[in-house]
Amino acid sequence: MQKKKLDQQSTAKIFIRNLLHNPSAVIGLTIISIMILCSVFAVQISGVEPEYIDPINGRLGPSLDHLMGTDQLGRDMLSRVLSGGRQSIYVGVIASFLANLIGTILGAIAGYLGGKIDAVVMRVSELVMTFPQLILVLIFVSLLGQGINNVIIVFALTGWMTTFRLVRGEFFSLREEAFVEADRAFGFSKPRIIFRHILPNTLSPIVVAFTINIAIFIIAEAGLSFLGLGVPVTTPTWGNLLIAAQNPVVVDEYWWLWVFPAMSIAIFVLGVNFVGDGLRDVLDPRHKSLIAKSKWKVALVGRLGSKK
Amino acid sequence: MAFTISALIFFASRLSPIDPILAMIPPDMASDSANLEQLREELGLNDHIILQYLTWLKNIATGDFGYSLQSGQQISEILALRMPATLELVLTALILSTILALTLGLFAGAKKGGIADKLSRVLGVVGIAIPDFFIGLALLNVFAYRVSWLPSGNRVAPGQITFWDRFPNYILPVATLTIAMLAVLIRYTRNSVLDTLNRDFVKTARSKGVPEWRVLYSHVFRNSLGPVMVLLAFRLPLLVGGSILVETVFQWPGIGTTIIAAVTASDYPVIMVVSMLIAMVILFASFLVDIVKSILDPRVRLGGSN
Amino acid sequence: MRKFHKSFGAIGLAAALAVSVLAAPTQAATNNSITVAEVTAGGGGVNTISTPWFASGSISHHAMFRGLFKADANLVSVKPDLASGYKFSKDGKTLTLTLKSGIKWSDGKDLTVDDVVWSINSLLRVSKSNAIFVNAFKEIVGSEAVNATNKATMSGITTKGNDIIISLKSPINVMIPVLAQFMIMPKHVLADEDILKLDTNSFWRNPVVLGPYKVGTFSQGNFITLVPNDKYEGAKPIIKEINIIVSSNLVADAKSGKLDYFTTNDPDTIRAMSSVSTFKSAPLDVLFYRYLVVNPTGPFSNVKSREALKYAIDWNKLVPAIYGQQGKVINSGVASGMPHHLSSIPKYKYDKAKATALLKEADFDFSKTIRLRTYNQSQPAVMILLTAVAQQLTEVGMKVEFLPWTGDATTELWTNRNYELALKGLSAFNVSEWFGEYSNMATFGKSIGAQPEFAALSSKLLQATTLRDTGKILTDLQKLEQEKMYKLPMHLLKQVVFISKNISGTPTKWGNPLYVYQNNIASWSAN
Repeated sequence: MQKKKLDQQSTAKIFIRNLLHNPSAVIGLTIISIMILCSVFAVQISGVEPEYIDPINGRLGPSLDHLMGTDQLGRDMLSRVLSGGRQSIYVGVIASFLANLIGTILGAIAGYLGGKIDAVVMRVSELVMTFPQLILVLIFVSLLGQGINNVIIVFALTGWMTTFRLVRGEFFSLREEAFVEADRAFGFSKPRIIFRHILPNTLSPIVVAFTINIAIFIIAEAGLSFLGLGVPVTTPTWGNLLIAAQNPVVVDEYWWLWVFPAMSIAIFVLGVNFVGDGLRDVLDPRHKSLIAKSKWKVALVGRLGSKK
Repeated sequence: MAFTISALIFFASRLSPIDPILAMIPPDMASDSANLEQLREELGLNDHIILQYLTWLKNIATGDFGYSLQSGQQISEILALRMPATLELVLTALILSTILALTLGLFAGAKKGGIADKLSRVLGVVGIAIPDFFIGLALLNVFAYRVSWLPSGNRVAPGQITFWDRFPNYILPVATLTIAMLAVLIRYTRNSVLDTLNRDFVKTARSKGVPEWRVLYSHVFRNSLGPVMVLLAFRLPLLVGGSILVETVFQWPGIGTTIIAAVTASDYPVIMVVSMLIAMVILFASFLVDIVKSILDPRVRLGGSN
Repeated sequence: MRKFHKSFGAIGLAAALAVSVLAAPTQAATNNSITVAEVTAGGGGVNTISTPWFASGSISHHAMFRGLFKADANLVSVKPDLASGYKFSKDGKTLTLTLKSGIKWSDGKDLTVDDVVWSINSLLRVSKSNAIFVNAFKEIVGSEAVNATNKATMSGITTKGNDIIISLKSPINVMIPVLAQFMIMPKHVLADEDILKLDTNSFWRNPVVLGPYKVGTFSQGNFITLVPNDKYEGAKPIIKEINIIVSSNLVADAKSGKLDYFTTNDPDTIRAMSSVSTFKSAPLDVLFYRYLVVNPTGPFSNVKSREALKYAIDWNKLVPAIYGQQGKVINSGVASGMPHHLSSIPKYKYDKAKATALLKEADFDFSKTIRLRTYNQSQPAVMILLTAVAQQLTEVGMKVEFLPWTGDATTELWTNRNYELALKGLSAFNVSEWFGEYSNMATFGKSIGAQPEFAALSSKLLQATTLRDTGKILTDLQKLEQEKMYKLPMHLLKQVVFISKNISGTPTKWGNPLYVYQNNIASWSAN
């Protein structure tokens, strides 16, 4: 037991050391941490509450008083963009976590057990993939109402398939390995084999999928909110701030109302993608063929494409 | 599969608590409440839901897509009108982005660290991070508003008869969609080319003294195509679904804006037909992907030479 | 590598070509053609001409359709159009209209009294129509027999030669102005169509008309071109083509000369248009109300808590901040400054302390979340205003949740009623429409129950024949409104007409662009 712990510790250490030596991961982590810190301390940094209304000073361009200008109600855009990050990042992280959780559990079960259960879950995943996503979102919104948690639920329920396929594939190959055979011989229970013994070996692709999903969901939140179907407008998110750009006059004359939120999304997503790339390099030392590595990404991209 | 989806789409659209009659005709705009009841009867909304579903299925199968509640137009007519708009937008962008990505990807792979490589790496990383409608908004702001070189939207304006009259209208939406698609595609081609370059048969060809351009063209290019084709097949559903966000930004009268208009007006016959159509194309696309994969899988084709 | 540079060069060349194509001057208004922007339903393009029995006032309506009378810009006084004149009997219950002869439809058929009778009867058969017509025509004897399920006609309408004689159940003072808005449709084309679904009939893509213009080209999803109607009996219109488009950016299109006329109430567009020197503007006082509908069950059941809302929100600061000169804060259906405004209505100056006191008096339940709702596709300015309202309500201690409805607002507003406060807009033909809402059983009635007091006063208002009677009834209605506070009036919104300075012959006084009036479209010219 003790030896195992030691092993784990050193693996973690090696992992962190490798990560910190990976330039892409370091850049990504720096971007992400700075942005998260900024959104947590949004009010302290900007000096104004994001909801504070000052109609007389509305529609002001960026200046020293308001680094990112003000909106039609005179609310400080810096404060809104920074605190908008809180909600957007929250949506991205939690939705990605839940989607990965669903995908991992289903993938592990389907991959290990195979047979009928696998066929059924596979069918369901195909169904969800085929079902037009926007329609799905609308149905959920009309049933559950609009809200930040409903957006998360919708993303989780429509975004688990890539992780599922990934984990399922890993399980297919791992279940025939010697150590699993040994587990079976010892008479370990199925859940124990699945979750305690095989699952830890599939962690690397899951972690990478988790980061990539965060980026995808943050962009998806922006798109949904832009169409007026996302998070309620009273909650500032990067997507909700972009609603202003539905008005062509705003696009034309008040560029600071949409450029800053959009840039924030782009930079944060960039950071997340860097971390994703770094993680892949670090966690996947076997250097599988590049194509095989990104096979799961094809599916991911397909999803992204159909979402548009 | 198609059957399950049709049932899901139908019942899901009926799950929503919206009364289509009231959505169409608010009570303070109704001439007479008896008229509303008559309309409900004529539209078959009083029938049992299973009967409604079967009728719908039968009609769809016979090519009768029904009528839009909002405009009263035949849905097949709406599709015939809107589909070309989406097709020409998405198809052009798809072709352009593929050509650009393949060219760039090939050169990037051929000369690692060269200009093409740097460009494609930057594009691949930055492009993925930018939401597509933001690209559209930025292009609008600069090219349509700041310098007024290009129109801000609309597919055909009055007096535009020939293709060249309409050409300017296409530039911004097509550019937006092309750039949005390019990012992923370029990353993909580059990886694929690099991967192929490391393969034994390329090394063999080089050592045999085959000219570099021939190695690139007949060996690398062709073998890198596979994954790119897979990606393109996955993009097929866009052809019917359109890009809702890009179409919205440019007020493009395609399927994407039709979906949004139908959704906001609770025009469920349109929603159902369009979702069904998209679902079918997605099914077809995944079928296509399987075929492409089996044809192009290097393990199958190159098994002997390895 | 060379190939790479070449392909880039080719792209650059193509771009340069494209730009040079575009640099060609954009077409400015000429007598050959002008372009107007219209807002149409359906999203992403021009789909159809909307039926004028439901909403009218667009340029296409002005150009193509005609009623028995033509209203002036004030919408009240009228001049003869299809009818040469009218006569009321002494008791005001019999109206005789005389149709002009020699007027032809655009397909060459003669206009007859049958067209008029058929049109009036058919209005009660369509599914969707404007309430002003329904309210007026329901006062005709025998109207209750007519609906979509039968083929009956009103016994109260008879004809004699070129005369149409209408018998009314009781005299109504708005009949003639309403008839001036009511566009006559061709019986010979539509009689066999499904009248219930008239608003979605393909007729509207190329209607048979009486006006100076008719549809020339209909490019669905893109634009409609109107051309002169050669069967029109009046002077030939000067402009040869009116292009009707949907603009994705009114300001940019106006600046670049792609647009010659449009009307809007979007504050950002209006603000931006002030820098476009090639256009002139006409801000119009129209009866476009914005107000909050209060759900009388739940936290706001006590009228004092509703009064608190008027003090808790700084209307006089918020409305001008968002709408500028265009928005006018109101505290009554008869705005201050309008004739018959009740001067005893308080000004409701922003007063948080007073709001808090009133809420306390009303024993307001602060633990309940106040659901503030609006239509799904509300304009950006509305969303901003309501966001501010939500914020100010939070400041007096309420928990507010502001959301646009995702589904159909009508069902939500009157059937589901899952809200405490909901925004509603009303583009009214006259003040009586504002007060008539309280006693409409199909809408407000479902939420606040039958309102016999409002109903009685409203029908008296319709029948009032003197200014003094009207004034007295309006005073009573305003008192009743203040007492009940079922609607919280927020503001009126001006509609602004923008027209290119190149166009002359336009009316000296513009009217409400949401209705039809004499705008001389046939004598517009462009230079």
